[in-house]
Amino acid sequence: MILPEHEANRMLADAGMPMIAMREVKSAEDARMRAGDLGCPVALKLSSVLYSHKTEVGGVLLNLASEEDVGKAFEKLEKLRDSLDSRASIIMEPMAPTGTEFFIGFQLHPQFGPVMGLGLGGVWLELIQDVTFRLLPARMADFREMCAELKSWSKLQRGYRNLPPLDEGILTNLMEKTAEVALSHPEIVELDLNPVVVRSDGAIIVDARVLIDSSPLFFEAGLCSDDGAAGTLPDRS
Amino acid sequence: MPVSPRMREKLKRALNARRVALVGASREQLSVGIGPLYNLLSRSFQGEVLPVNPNYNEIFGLKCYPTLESINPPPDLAVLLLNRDRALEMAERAGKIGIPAVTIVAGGFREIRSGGKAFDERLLELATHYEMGVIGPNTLGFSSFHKGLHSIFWHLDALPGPVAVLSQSGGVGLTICQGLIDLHCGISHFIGLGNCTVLDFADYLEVLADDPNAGTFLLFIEGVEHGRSLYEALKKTALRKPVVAYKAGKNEGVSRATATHTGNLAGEYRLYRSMFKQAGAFEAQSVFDAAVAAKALSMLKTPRGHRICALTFTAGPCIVAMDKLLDAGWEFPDLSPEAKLKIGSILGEKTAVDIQNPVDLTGPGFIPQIYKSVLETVLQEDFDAYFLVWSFNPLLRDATIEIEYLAKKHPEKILVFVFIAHQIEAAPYLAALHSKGICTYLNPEDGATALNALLFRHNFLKREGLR
Repeated sequence: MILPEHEANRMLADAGMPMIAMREVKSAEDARMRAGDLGCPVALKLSSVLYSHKTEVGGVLLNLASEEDVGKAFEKLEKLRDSLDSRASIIMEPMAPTGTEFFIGFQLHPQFGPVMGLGLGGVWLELIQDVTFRLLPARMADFREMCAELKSWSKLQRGYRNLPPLDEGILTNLMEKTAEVALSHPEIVELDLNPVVVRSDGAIIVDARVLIDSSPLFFEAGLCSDDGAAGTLPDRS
Repeated sequence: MPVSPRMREKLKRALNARRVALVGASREQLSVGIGPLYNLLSRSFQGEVLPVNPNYNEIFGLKCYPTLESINPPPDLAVLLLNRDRALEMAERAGKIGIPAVTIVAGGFREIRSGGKAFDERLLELATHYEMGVIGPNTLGFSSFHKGLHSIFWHLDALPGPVAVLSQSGGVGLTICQGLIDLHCGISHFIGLGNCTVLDFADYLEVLADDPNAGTFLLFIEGVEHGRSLYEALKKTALRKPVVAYKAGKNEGVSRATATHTGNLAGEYRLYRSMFKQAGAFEAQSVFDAAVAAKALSMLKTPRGHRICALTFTAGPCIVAMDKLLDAGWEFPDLSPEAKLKIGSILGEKTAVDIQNPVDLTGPGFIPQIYKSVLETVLQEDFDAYFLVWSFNPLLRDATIEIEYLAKKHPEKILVFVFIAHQIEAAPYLAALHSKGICTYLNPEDGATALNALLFRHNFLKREGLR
C-alpha cells in the first residue's frame, strides 16, 4: 500500500533522511497559526492514500502568501477532502527551496531485486527520462558513475543558468543513505523521492512516495542477507 | 534459479564429455539426427560417438545401439535428436540410468503459447528429480571446440580459440561466430541455451569460468527470468575473465512495463544496460561489435589507463575513431617535445605537417621504414594504448612486417591495428597478423570499439579494486 504523504515523510525523517519540514494541520485556525510560526509563503496539501497524484485533483495549493490565504486554502482543501477521501490529512510545508532537482528511486524489481534509480527530477523526469539505474547494494563508485551517466550532469554540475554549481558528494551521500534506508526496511517495495532539491548547503527531499508491503517479501526472496542490508559496499581503491 | 552444485558438476562433465550418445542419430540428410554425427566425426573428437537408433545396426561405420539403456557404462552426455514428446520420454530414461546431462533440440515447449509451458514444467520436474543437466530445449546444442566435441546439429566451421559464445538464440549465436571467424578469432565453446528451462546463463558461466580454454565470454541475451542471478554470475565471471554482452529487445514496446512509477521508467532494457555496466560486462551494440570486442579482450592485455596515441598517414579514419574513443573516455595527450623533434627529423623538412597526437604522417607515412621509425618513437612515449592505421595499396609494400617486429619488441604495449582493405584482399594479411598476435580490424569504428571494450574493462577492474 502507498503510505500517506505525511506518514512517508515521518518514516523517512525518522530514518535520518533530510525531509522537508511537514506538519499536519487540523483546522483553519491551526493552519493560520502554523503559517505564522513557519513564515509565509507556505504550501498546503491533501495527503491521501487514494490520490497519489494530488496536483491533478487540486489537492496542492502553493505559494500561500499570507495567513489569510492559508485559512482560505485550508477551507478549500477541507471541502475537497470531504468529497474525495474523508480519511485524508491536510499538511503544511514551507515552499520548496530552489536548487537542482533530482529524482531518487528505489524498487524491489521482480527480476533484479533491489534497484536504485537516479534521474533529473521534478517535472522533467517523465518528459526527458534522463535516468540511470544500479542494482543494490552498490558502491560509492557506482553512485558517482550514475551521476556522470545523466546526460544533463555535466551542465548541471557547472551550475545551469541561475542554479549554483553542484556538489556531487551531497547527492551521492544522499543516494547512499537512501540505499541504506531502503534495504534496512524490507517492507519498502518502492520509494520515489521527487523532487530532491540539491543546493550548495545540502539536499532536501520535498516529496516522497513510499509503497510498502506488509509481508517481508524482501527477505523471503532471499535477495539480501542480514549482513548485506547496508545499501553501500565499501569502496575499493 | 541457479541449479544445485551437483547438477553443475554434471554439466561440467557433459561439456567435457568423453562418451556421447546421439539418440535419434540418422544418415538421412534431411534429419537433424545427422548433424551432430557429421560434426563429431569431421572433428578430431577423441572420445566415443555412440549412435542410438533401433532402425540401424551401424551408421557411418559406428556401432548403433538399439536403446539408450544398452550403452554400458552410460555416456557422459545424451544428445536427444527427437521430437518433443519422445525427447521428454527419453530424458526421463536418461535420468533413470544416471546420465549426467542431455541436450534437447526439440522445440514446442514454453516458446509456443498454447500449452507449451506445461512441457517445460514437466522437464524441470524430471531434471530436478534426477539432478540431471538439460541443455535447451529448443536449441542447436553445444560444442566444445578444444575437445573436438562438436555436438550441435548445424554447420559451424570454427577453429578452437579463446572465446566462449553463450547464446539464447542459435541463429544469433551462429551469426556471432561468423563475426569471430571473419576476425580470425577462435572459439572455445558454442552454447545454445535455448529456453533455459533447467540450466541458465549463471550455470554455464559458473562452470566455464573455471575452464582454462574459455578466456573471454560473449553472451547474447534475449531476456532472462532471473535477472539478479544473471547479474551476480556476470560480475563473478567478469572479476576473473572479460565478458561481452549483447542484448536484444531494446525497444520499450518489448519490455515488460510495470504499473508503478519507478517500474515505468525502469524499462527493462535500461535496467539491463545499467546491470551490464555494474557487472563489468561490456555491452556491444550489434552482433559484429560483440565479436570485435571479444576478439580484443581475448587477445590483448587490459590497459592501465586511458592515454592513447594514434598513428596514421590518412587523417579521416583517425577522426572517425576519435569520435568513439573520446566518447568512451580515451584521451589523446600531446607528444613530448623530444618525440616531436624526432618525428620532425624522420619526416624531413619538406613535409609540411603539424606533429601532434594523432600523428598524421601524410605522404611519407606509407613508406614502411618511415612508418616504423615513427612508431618506434611513439612506442617510447608513455601511452596506455596505440591505434594504428594502414591503408592497403597493392602497388606498395605495406608495413605489417614492421608492425609485427615492433609489437614483438614491445610486448607490454597494447596495439590495435586498422588495416583498411576489403575483406577478400585483407584475408591473408588478417590471418598472418592474427597469428603474430596483432589485433587487427578492417575499419576504424571496429578498432575504436575494440579499444573501448579494453578501456571499459580497465575501468571495471579499477572500480573493483583489482588495479
